[in-house]
Amino acid sequence: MSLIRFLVRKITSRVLVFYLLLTLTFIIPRLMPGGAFAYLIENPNVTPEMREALIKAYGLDQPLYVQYYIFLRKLLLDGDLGVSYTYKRPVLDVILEALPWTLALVTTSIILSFSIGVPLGVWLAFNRASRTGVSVSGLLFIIRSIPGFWLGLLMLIIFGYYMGVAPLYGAYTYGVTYSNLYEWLADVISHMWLPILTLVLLILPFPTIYTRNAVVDVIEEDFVKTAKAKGLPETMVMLKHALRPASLPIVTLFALELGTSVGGALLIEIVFSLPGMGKLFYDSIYTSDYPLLLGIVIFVSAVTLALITTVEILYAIIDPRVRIR
Amino acid sequence: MRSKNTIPSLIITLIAPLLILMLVSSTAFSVTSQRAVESIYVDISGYIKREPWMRPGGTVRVPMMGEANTLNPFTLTTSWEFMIIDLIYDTLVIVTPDLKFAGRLAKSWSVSPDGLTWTFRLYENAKWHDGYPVTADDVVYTFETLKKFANVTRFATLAPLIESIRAVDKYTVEIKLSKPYAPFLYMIASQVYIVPKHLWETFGIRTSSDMANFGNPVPIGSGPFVLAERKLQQYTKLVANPNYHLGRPLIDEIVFPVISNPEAMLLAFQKGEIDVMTWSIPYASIDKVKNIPNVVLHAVTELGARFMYFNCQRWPMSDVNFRKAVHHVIDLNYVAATIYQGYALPGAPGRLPPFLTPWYNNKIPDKETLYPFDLRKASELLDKIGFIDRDGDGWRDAPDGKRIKLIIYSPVYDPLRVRWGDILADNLKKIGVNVEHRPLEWTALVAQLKSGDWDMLIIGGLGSLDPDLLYDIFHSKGSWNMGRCTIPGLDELLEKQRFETDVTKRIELIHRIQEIIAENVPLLNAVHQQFVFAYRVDRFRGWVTGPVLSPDNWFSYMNLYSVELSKPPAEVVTTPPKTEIAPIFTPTTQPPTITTPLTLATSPVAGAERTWMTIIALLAVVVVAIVVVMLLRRGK
Repeated sequence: MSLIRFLVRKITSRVLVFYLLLTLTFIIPRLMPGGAFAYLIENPNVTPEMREALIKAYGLDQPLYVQYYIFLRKLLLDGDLGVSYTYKRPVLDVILEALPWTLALVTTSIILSFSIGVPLGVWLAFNRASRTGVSVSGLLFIIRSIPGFWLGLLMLIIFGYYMGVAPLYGAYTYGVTYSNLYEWLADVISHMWLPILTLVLLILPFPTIYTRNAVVDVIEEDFVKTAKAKGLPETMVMLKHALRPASLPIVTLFALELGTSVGGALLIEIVFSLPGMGKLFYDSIYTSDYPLLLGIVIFVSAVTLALITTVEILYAIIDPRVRIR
Repeated sequence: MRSKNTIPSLIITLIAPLLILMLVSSTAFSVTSQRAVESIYVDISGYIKREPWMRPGGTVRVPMMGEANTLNPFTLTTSWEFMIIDLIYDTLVIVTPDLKFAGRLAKSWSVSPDGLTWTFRLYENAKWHDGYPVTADDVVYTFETLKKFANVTRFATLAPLIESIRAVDKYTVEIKLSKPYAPFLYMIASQVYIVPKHLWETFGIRTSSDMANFGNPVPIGSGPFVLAERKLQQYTKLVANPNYHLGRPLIDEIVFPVISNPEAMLLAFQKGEIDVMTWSIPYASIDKVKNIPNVVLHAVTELGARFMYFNCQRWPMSDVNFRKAVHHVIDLNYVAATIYQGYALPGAPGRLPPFLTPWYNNKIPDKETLYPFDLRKASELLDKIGFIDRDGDGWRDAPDGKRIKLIIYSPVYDPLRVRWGDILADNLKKIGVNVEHRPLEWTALVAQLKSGDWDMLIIGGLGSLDPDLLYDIFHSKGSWNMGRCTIPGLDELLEKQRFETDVTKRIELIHRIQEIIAENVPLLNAVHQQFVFAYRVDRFRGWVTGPVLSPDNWFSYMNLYSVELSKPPAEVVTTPPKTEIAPIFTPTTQPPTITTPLTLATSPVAGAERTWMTIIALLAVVVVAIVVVMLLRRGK
C-alpha cells in the first residue's frame, strides 16, 4: 500500500515539475533580446511585407495565451513539437537525427568516467592520507575547474594540430564511401576518441570525488573494521564492504549525469565540430529557432525526469527505507 | 563581418553569413548607357580554362561554419546557403571576377534602346539534372513565381519593376520592365536562380507561407554540380554534373564539412585538411599563415564600410556642427592603422570607397584633412551650437537647459568596432558630452536600430558596385537612411542620377553628391575593412579570385583541377604564386602619439604564442598545486 502511495506521490510531483518546465520553456525565449522570431524578422534583408507574412505564418500575431494554448495542445495531444524555423522540418525529426551522435558521445564518456572514477574514488578513500592520494585529488579539483571549451581547444591544438594524432573536425571522414561497417566504425573511433577523452576528463571528477566522499563516510563504520579484522584482503574490503553501501547514490548520479551531460557535450560538439544535440541546441539559441529550442529542452528534461523517476522507483522497490521518507 | 576574433566570434557565426549576403546581394552593377553596357558583356569561355593535360577527378573540401538550412533559391539568406545553391542552380547571367557580365544560362541577350525590354536567348543544350531541357517556360515560371511571392522572398525591389515576361519561342524570353532600371542585369545575375517548372509545379506551393516553409530538400537544378548527400550538421556533398552545358567541372566532388569552430577551421586549413578558408583569417594570425608552404592569401576590401549612423530626428545629432564635432574626436588613420592593423582604409567622407572608380570623387580630401583629430576644435563646435554646461554638473546641456545623455550602440560580437566605439565615447566625454557606449548582441542591435530609439549606432556593410546605393543610404526616403537625415539639395541629385543615361553626366552627379555628403556628414564613415581569405595549392590549382571576390566561388569550382592527376608538360610548370600580402594602409603621417586616444592601444599577441602561453600557464598551475600539496603534507 505504501509503495503505491509512494509511486502516486512521486509521479504526480514529477508531472507537475514537467508542466512547470514546459511553461518556463515557453516563456523564457520570448523574453530574449530581440524578441521572438528575431532571426527571421529582424534580419535587415527582410522587407516589412515579408516580416508580416512570416509573423502570420508562424502564428506570432496571436495573443500570448493563445500561442500557449496551441503549444500545449499540440505537444500533449499530438506529441507535435512543431516545425523548426531554420530547418523547415518537424522538430522531432531534427532531434532524432542528431540524438544518436550525442548519445554515443555522452554515454561512452559517462560509462568510461564512471568505470575509472568509481574505483579511483574507492582507492582515494583508502589512500586519502597518502601523498599520491592527495595529489590525485588536487589534480581532479584542478581539472574540475577548467572551462570545457578551453580544455577542448587545448586538446585540439595539442593532439590534433601539433601531434597530428587526431583529426581537427567532424565525427568521421566526410564524403567517403565505406566498404563495410567495421571500416566506418574504425573511422568514427579515430575521430571521436579525442572529444570522448576530453569529455571523460571533464566528467571524471564528479564520480571520483563523490565515491571518495561516500566511501570515506562508511570507512570508519564497524562493519568495515570487522571485515579488516577478519583478515580479508584490502581489495575485498574496498569493493565488497565499503563500496556497496555507497553505491546507491552513485547510481543516481549516473542517471543525473546522463541528462545534464548534454550541456557538457554542447561545448565539446562545438569545439570538435561534431553533429549532435548540443550543437543543435546552441544553433537554436543563436538563430532564435524557438520550436527547436523548446523541443530540445522538453526532450532532454523529459528524458532526465524519466530516468530519475525510474531510478527512484527502483530504489523504493529494492530498499524499503526510501518509501518512508 | 567575415572577420573573427576568438571566442565571441562564435556568437556571430550564424549571423555573419546573413551580413555577407547582404553585402553580396546589395552589390549592384550599373548598366548606365548602351555603349557602356556592350563593353562589359564578355564571353564566359574566357573564364573557364581547360588544357589538354588537365585530368578530371578529386574531391575539394570547403568548410562551412553553419548549416545550409534551406536549399530554396527564392528564400536563401545565409552565405552558406548561397555557396551551395549557386553551384546547383544557374542564373541567366553571371558577374565575372573582373566585374563584367557573362552568360550562364543565357547564350546572349539584348536590351531595347529605351531600356525597357530585355531579351534573353538560352543555351539549347542546357539540361536539368533529371534530363529535361531548360526552356523559356522555366524562365517564365521562375519570374512569375518571384513576382507572386515577392513578399516572402528576396525580390521585393525587383518584382514590382517587372511588368511582364513571356516566352518568345522555346529558347527565347522577353522581360518588360515598368521603367528603365540601371542595376537590373546585376540583380538577375546575382539573385535570380532559374528553377524547373515541371518539378516546382508539383510542389504545391500556393501561399506565401508555403513558400517560406519550403526547404527544397531535393534540389534539381541545371548547374555544374548535383547534390549527392546532405547530412544534418555534418556535411553536404556535391558531385560534378557530367552534362553541364558549359562543360563539366574538372573536379569530381565538393564536400562541405560543417566546422563550427573558427579556430578549428584555421587549424584544419593550416594542416591541409581543408582546401580553402571561407571565414576570414584574424589579422593576428596572418603572419603565421602566410609562411605556410602552398598557401596563398587573398584580401578582399569591402565595398561598404564600418560606419556610425547619427539619428537626425534628435538633437544634437540633427545639427551638422555636432556631427562634425564627432568627426573631430576620432583619428581614423589611427583606427585603420592600429585597431585594424592596417587591413582597412580610413573611411572616405563621401562614403564610396576610394577604389571604386570612376564613381569615387578623388578631389574630396580625406577625413583627417577635412575634419582633423582635434578635441579643442570639436569643443568649439559644440559651444557654437549652444551645447554647453548650464547647470554646472560637468556635462553639456541643451540650449533650453535640458540635460542630454547620449548612447552609442555597437555590435558586441566585433571587438574592433567596439574599440573605436570606446574611443569615440571616451573622447566625447573628455569634451563634456555625457555619452555612454553600449555594445549590444546582434539581434538586439538590429531591433534597436529599427525601433528608431537610439542616438548613434555603429554598424557595417552596405556596399555596392553601383553608386545608386547612395540613394538608399542618403535619400530622405532611402531604405537604409536609418537616421532619417535630410540634407538640403541631396534628394533631387540622388533621384536624377538614377535615370541619367549619360555616364559622364552621371559621374558628375555622383561626384557632386559625395561632396554634399562630405560637407554634411550624415554618418561617420569609419573604415573600409579588408577580409583576408586563403586557399591551398598543393592539392588543387586553378583558383579564381577578384578584387571583391573571395576564393570560394563559382569560377573557382569550374576551374579547379587536381594537382595529383594533372601533370602539366614541363614548360607549363609554374611555381604557385608567392604570397604577397601586406596591410593596405600605412599612414603617411606618423600616428599621433600624445594626442592619441588613450584607450586600448596594445597589439594582440600572435595566435601561436598565445596557445603556448596558455599551455605554459596551465603547466605552471599544475606544478604549483602539486608543490603546495607536497609541502602541506610534509609540514604535518
